[in-house]
Parts: sequence; C-alpha cells; structure tokens
Amino acid sequence: MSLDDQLAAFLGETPRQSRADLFSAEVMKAVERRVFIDRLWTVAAGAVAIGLVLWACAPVLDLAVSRLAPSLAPVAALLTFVGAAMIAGGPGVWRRLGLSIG
Amino acid sequence: MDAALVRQARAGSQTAFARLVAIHEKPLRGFLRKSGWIDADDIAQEAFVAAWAGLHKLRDDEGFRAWLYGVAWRKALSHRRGAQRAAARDEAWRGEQELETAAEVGPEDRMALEGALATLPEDQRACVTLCLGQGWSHAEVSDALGLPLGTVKSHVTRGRERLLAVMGGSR
Repeated sequence: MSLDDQLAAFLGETPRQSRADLFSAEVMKAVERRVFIDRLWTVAAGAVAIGLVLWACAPVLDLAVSRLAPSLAPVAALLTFVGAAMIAGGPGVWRRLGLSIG
Repeated sequence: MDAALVRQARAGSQTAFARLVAIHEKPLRGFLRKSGWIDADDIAQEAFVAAWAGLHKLRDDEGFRAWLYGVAWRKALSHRRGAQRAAARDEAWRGEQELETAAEVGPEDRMALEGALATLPEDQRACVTLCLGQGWSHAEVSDALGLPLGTVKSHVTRGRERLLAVMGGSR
C-alpha cells in the first residue's frame, strides 16, 4: 500500500458506528424542537393578529353580542349544564353517549 | 439521491431529513474532527439543525453535501475561541479515539500524522481532509468552504507534501 493510500485512509477515518444512531437521534430531537418552536411562533403571531382584529372590531361586536345574547342565553345555559355533567360523570358518561375516543 | 430527499425534507418531511442526517453525519463529523475541532459533534449537530431551517435557501438540490459542509465550516469558524483551541490540544487524543481507526496506518505513522495535521493552518487542514480523505474534487471544496479554487489546489498540494514528509520521516 502506497503512502498516498495510507494518508487517504487516515484522513478519511469516520466516527464509530455505535455513536451514529445516538447522534442522529439527537439531531432529529433538535429539529423537532425547532419545528415546535416555529409552530409556536406562528400560532402566537396568529393569535396576536386575531386579537388585534377583534380589538379593532370591538364596537361592532359589542353591539352584535348585546343583541344576540338575550336570545342565546338559554342555549348557552343548557350547553354549560350538559358540559358540566359530562365532565363530572367522567369517561363512563362519554362511553354511554358513544363519544368515547380510542 | 440527495436531491429527492432534499425536496421531501423541504416539503416538511422529517423522515427524509433523518435519512439525510444518517447519510452525511459520519463523514461530516469525521471531517470536522480531522480538521481539529474538538467540539465537532456539537458543530455538526448545529449545522444539521441550521440546514433544516435553511433548506429553502439551497438552490441546487444535488449540491446538498457541499452546502451542508459549508454551513458546518462557517459554524466551526464562529465557534473558534482561543481558550477552546488550547484545551482542544489536550483533549485531541481522546477525541481521536472515537474515530474508526484505519488498519492501514501504523501507530507510529498515526502519531506523526496527527502531530503534523495539527500544525497545518485550519483552511489547509480542511482542504486536505476533504480532497484526500473523502475524495472531494477541488471545485467542490472551493464551493463548500468559500475558498478560491487556486487556494484549494495549493492547500492540498502543500498539505499533502507536509503529511507525506512526516510519514516518510517516521520510517
């Protein structure tokens, strides 16, 4: 084997395989964290945008809500009662209503 | 092969990107370690994460490897600290132990080569490692490291001469 071949072999040495899987897993964990943070920023920006729109439309929305609220109050009360009953009843109630997941 | 995976990864496929990581992590870490960066694994990890975030900036999908190494090289240069470099000298041997040692190189030559490699300027070390160790073309190295083609050629020629001289001298 020539000196050039030996030099190439030395310079081309790579890390041991045993650490390769661990390294890849760490990289992908960091990538997932990055994706999560990016999504979080997107959602936060969206929430801020929606908040600003609602704030800008507040006078109109106030009027609309004050007109609709009296007629929707009984429905809202009923939904609140049903919701409370389902939460209090736990998974058993969900199953009996055929709403259980999984 | 990279191009298809790059396209999928750019579309948001983490599985495709994991495949790219699996393909390139060993040679990239090997390159960074041979180039003298003791925190090579951290640099490589940061480079992969930066690559994931910056995939949309890659113009030629086939050129992923050179682009990735360029990202890693710039990360490595930004990691440079005087104190770290001094500490790196002490820990170099421990770092080298984690590489798969080539059976073709005897222990005396290995020690001589490691010593000689450490004395090369970092640009020259990187050029020599990529061209002679990983079989890259001069143009690819020039592209990845952002060095003029002529500089890469002279780095490789001079670096090779110095390393071969050390090997010859140890016999």
